[in-house]
Amino acid sequence: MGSPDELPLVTDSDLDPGFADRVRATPGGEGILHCYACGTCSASCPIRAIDDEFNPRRIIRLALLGLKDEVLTSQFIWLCTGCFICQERCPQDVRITDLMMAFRNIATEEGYPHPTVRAIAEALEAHGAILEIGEFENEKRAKAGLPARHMAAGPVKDIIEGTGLGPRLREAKGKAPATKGGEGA
Amino acid sequence: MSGRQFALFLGCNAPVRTLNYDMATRAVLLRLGVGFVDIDAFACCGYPLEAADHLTALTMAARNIALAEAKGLDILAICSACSGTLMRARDELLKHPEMRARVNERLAKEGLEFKGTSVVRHLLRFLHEDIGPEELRRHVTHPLKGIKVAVHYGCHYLKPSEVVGGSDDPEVPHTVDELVALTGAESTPYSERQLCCGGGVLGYREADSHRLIAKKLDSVLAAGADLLEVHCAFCDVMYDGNQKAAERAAGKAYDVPVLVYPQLLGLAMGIDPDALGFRHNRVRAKELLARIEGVPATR
Repeated sequence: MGSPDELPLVTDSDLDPGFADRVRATPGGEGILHCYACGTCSASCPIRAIDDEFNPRRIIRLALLGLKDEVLTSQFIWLCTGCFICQERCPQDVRITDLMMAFRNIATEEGYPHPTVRAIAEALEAHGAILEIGEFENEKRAKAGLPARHMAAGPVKDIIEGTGLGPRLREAKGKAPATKGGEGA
Repeated sequence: MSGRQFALFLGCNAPVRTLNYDMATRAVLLRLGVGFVDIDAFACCGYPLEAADHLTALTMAARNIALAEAKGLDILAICSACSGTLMRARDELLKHPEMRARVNERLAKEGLEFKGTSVVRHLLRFLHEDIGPEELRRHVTHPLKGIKVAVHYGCHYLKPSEVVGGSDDPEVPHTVDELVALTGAESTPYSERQLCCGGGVLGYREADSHRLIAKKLDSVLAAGADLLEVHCAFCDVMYDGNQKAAERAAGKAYDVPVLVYPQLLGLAMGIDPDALGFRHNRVRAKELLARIEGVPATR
């Protein structure tokens, strides 16, 4: 955050007045209008405590204002670790962890999926799991006295393609916001 | 035990990255006489795609549940992200017939249907609520005297509490402390007991996940605990598998052994450490094992 002079002014043309309704219509986003900005979420958040870029109360305010592009193209919606502390503590039952997932679902629909999401979907289509469990892994398992595992890749691929997620992720290639990479979760 | 049969749900991580958890779970269940089978057609629980498309993730979860239902089995999951995802999916599908219809339309292509006839249990909820501490204590032959355990509850074992929390209070949980106490070990309080492992940001901002690991381990060491207990495959990957990476990021050594709960219980039952997969622990627990009376040396 810079000084007040450096902060950009929000003008009408930046706002999408329908964005909050779009969020409400997305699974997980139903409670967004109940937020009264108390900040219990940000005060409880383990990521907020170590990374200034993530602030759930701020993200919710941006969305309610209608700053759709800022919300959907930013890194911060991908920094929620999904711990549900805010969801447990929210006095307004906004279901904030689910709401963060709703923002990501909308970002993916709008062509801004995080590269990690694409990598995960590709791994799942290829292996039925986020990690390959092939001959090498099963030899290791046999040595440990464990039965072989063969994850069902075909049916998972059918689901990902069938819901339209697969095509959506391929179309979005190259449009995603730049990011620091990491290991696939 | 009862003749109850489970479908063992390992998820993606346990079969590859936490063989110790897989091994110790099977060894303990066998000793307790709990029946379980592996279902080959299981796949990822769906959680990793929750971030991309809710319907896709929900359908993947429903498919796994439907596979167990087709065999008339309840599901026993050892990863809290998996158990949480499957339990939430089941809850949503039972409450929302229109979502169930959409999901079942897709599952029908594979000849499957989600009906809601099978329940999903996390391994430790099953041990605590279905078997119970009293019955488990009867199996303890080698109490883990003088061992101080830092319990890591993890997030999805407790929350969202209305669906997954069982008899625990999400802010002041107690079930795992009771499970640790019956092994003869002592649960040590520490300041960052409720802190998330950071697994959720590993793929999105790795540095943050390392900071969370370091914060937890600093607190575990400050409390003088001998080990960190986990009961989630992803938490285990973070604290055991990624402890070295977190040490490099923090510029210091932790060397905190990370044990999955069935390893602790198995030791107290007198099961050989090799059968509990200690050779697959990344942070070596040799010194710790040497302090426990009656435990044979690991090869």
